Amino acid sequence: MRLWNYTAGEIGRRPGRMLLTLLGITLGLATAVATRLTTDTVRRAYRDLFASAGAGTALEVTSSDPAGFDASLTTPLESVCGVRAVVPQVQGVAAVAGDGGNVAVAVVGTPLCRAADGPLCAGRPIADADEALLDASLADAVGLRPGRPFALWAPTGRVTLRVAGVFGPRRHGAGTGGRLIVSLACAQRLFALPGRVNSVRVSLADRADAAAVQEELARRLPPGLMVQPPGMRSTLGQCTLRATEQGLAALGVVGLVAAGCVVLNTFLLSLGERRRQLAILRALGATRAQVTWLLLREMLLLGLAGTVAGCAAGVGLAMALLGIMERFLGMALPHICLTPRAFLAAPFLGPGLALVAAVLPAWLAGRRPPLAELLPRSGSRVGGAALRRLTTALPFGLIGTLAGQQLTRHPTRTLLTGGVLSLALAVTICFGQALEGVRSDLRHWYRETIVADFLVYGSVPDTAFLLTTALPGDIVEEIGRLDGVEAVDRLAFLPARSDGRHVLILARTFSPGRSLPLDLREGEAETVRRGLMAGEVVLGVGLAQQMGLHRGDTFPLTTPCGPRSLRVAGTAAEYAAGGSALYVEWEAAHRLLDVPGVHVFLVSARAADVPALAPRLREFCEQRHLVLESNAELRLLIDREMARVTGALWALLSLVFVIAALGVVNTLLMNVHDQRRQIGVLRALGLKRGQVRLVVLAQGVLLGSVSVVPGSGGGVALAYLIHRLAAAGVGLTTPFRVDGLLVVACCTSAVIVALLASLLPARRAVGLSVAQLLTDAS
Amino acid sequence: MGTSDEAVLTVRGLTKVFGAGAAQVAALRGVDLSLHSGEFLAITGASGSGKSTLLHLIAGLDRPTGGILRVGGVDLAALGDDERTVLRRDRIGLVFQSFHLLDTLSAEENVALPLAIAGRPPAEARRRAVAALDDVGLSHRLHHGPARLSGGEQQRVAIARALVINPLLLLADEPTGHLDSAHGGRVMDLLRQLVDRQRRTLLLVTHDAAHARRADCVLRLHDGRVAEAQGWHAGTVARAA
Repeated sequence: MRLWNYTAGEIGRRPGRMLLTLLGITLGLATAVATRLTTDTVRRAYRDLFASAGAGTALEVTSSDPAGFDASLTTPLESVCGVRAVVPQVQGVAAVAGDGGNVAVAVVGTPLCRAADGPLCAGRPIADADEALLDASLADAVGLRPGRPFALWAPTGRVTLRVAGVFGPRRHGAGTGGRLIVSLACAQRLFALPGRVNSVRVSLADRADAAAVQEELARRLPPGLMVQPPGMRSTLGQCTLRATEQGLAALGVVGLVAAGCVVLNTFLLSLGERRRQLAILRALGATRAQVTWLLLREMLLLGLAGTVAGCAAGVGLAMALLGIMERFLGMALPHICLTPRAFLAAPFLGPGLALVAAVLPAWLAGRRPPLAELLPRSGSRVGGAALRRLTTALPFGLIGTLAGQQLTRHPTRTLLTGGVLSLALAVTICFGQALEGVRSDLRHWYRETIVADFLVYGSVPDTAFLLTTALPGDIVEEIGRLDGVEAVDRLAFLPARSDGRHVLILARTFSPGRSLPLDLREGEAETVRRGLMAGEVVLGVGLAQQMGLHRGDTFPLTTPCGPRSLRVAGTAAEYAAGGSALYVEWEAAHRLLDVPGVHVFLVSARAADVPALAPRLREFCEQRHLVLESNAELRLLIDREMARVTGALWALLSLVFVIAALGVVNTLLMNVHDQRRQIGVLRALGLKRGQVRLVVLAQGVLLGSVSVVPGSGGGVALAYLIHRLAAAGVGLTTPFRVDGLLVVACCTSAVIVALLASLLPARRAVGLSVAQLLTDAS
Repeated sequence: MGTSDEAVLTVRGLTKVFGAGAAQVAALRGVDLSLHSGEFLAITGASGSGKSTLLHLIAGLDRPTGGILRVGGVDLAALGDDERTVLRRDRIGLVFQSFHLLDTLSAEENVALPLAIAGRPPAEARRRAVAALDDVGLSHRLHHGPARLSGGEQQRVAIARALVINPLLLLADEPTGHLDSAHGGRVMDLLRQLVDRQRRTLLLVTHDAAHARRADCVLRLHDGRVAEAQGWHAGTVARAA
């Protein structure tokens, strides 16, 4: 006989309780693992956007000059110790016209001898300059097979290429907006880089010291060229992700905290039922430390089991989260990347969560004098006298009084359960308020900035504006010639740097005679327009607050010709690039930076000509394999996507309420157990089963009700805090307003959840045999 | 007459006070007694006389307020909680009125429990448990859980659990309190046999006069003091208040 027998017996005696604890640990761990997996997968996708899969590729040589550089400048690099190969490339974004619409793809132009990016799963390698290799995911998405021609929109215009072959998706990067491989000559033609390249891939020899090689390469490179790990150009995209990552991390933390509360509650429940047994062990000679360790060991076992289950559940949850992220980012993402980092903390989190929840109660249980449990009780323990007087004074009749008294008998247990409910309520209200604030601000921003009647592009831009197809500017004239068109504005998204910070420049034309399409926060419209035309900039409020700039200040910008200081004409609300965006007039942008082309044509119709213009524009775009969206369609798309993402996030948030409900079930089951004697006596005196059920249900309602005040107060306070942070981060400008309907709905939900959670304990209370209850009591 | 140095149990002027101030209650007000090896002492008294309190102090389950209390020559009052626990584990066998068996363990496992707590090898614990159950006539119930045993059988399992550690002192608190007369009688027969055949030292707390008469000597407590002592023989000392 070992004490393990006792442990095993206890775990097996209450399988439901054990499963409840396990579920709590599993859910908490799954949330943490899922958020980490999702974040890692999205980060890797962005990092690999333009990364080559060539074996041993570790470094990339690029230039700050958007016009590229002569590949021969890098020939001397081949002799650097540790370098295995140096491959000149041209990289860019284009749009493939497919059966289901245009898809933005990352194009890599490489010498023909290097064209195969991996094993081909169909077709053959590229043989000439008009052929291309597609990754398998892209080929499936656009319905292309080897031998078929397809249209491709690039900054130099539309070309027709033929699919030579399809290569297998890389482990991580495939599907990320799709990848297209063409010959170097073809890419130079597509992106207007005759005889030049904009990237050189450096493969390292086995066991080469990457840092040392990088340092040597940098020493040998001429001015204007830089060497860095591949994927650095997608840093702006990762800036966009930051707020999302923080939200995911917060979700993970909330999940862990809520799970910890459930585990603690279940453990306290179990301890309460085992007081007598633990007292027997102490009476038989088990020391306090032995009892404490016995209890902690049980929790450790459950923690380890929960770790395994939580990791598995986390992978499943991550798949769901990744689907949400795909819609939010507007680009295809690869399958879940099972990084060791995501699971590194799991073996510590699971047992750690269980132990942290159990250590204090286990220590207290070990110190409890055995006599307290071995002697017959002369009466029931009761909680605070003041609380009891309060419950007696409440006009709820016998049922309410019994319910209230039971809750006040164990104030710690009641407060803990109410606390978890309050937490769930606060998080829900905070999220709902924040979301409504963002949606309201987004609608206002949309009304002010997207004033064009139609939008024409090569492909719909992704959220981070990395996969945006540049189109030749002469399309403006073609569109302008259509009957009914009043004005056509151009818009381009240009990644740039300011004081080492990654920013996004929104270069656009501002047609005269039309209202300034900016949601201004500082500056008057006409003054700002004049400033823009004079080469000044309008900063997004988020960027302005980050840099501490206002109208009239100077904004530093890094350009190919060196640093420039531009006057700030005003500030405006802007959501692009996580708030790190600014507006520059089109011609001014051309003078400062290399503008590859037009990413969006903003078409305004003459008054009352919108219905007539629509079919003309549609025909125009269909003939040229361009994407057309009306303002109404775009608004609908944004609203729909917002609703989908919001709905999915609400579903995730409901997990927190599920965890809270588990806590209520726990507590009320324990209360029913404690009240057995009282229930037996009351039933013997004439209390009906239905009334017994009401006593338990009333406890649930009371628990839900007591969580309302701290939960709603905390939720509103948290929402206000987030509102202030969003105002500083992305320039959220709508005033903070408490959504009374949301608060009432969430509070009502909390009470209903508590009521539903009390159904099972109520059923158990009603099922107790009166004779058995009275026998136990005596 | 044996000297106090040979006594298994020595109690001098033992007091126990619960509460403080106006709510103070003196459960024991100076009890003297001693018990030698192989003797059977019964303590009786009305409800609230302090007999269970006295037994709990001797078992090390509580700490006296004053006086001397020695078990096997060890002064319990000077020991900390863990030390009293270890003493109880290794030297004192406890039998409770409510049996206090663990529902999730079989009879054999319940009996072996004190040895498992003491860290004895499982094989040894099992062997000694089987032997103890055989002593109480329950070798055919090794693998039965408490739910499958009658009240009398459960109490005999509890007695076996108390015996398995080969205790210096056996303490029984109302062992027949939850049993009918037939089963209660059998339990008392068993306890008497343990004293006669195995020379166990037994202190029994009971309110049943008939059961008390089966002891070698009887102390009656009243209001925390020894009110009457009967059947003294060499080695047993008790002083009435």
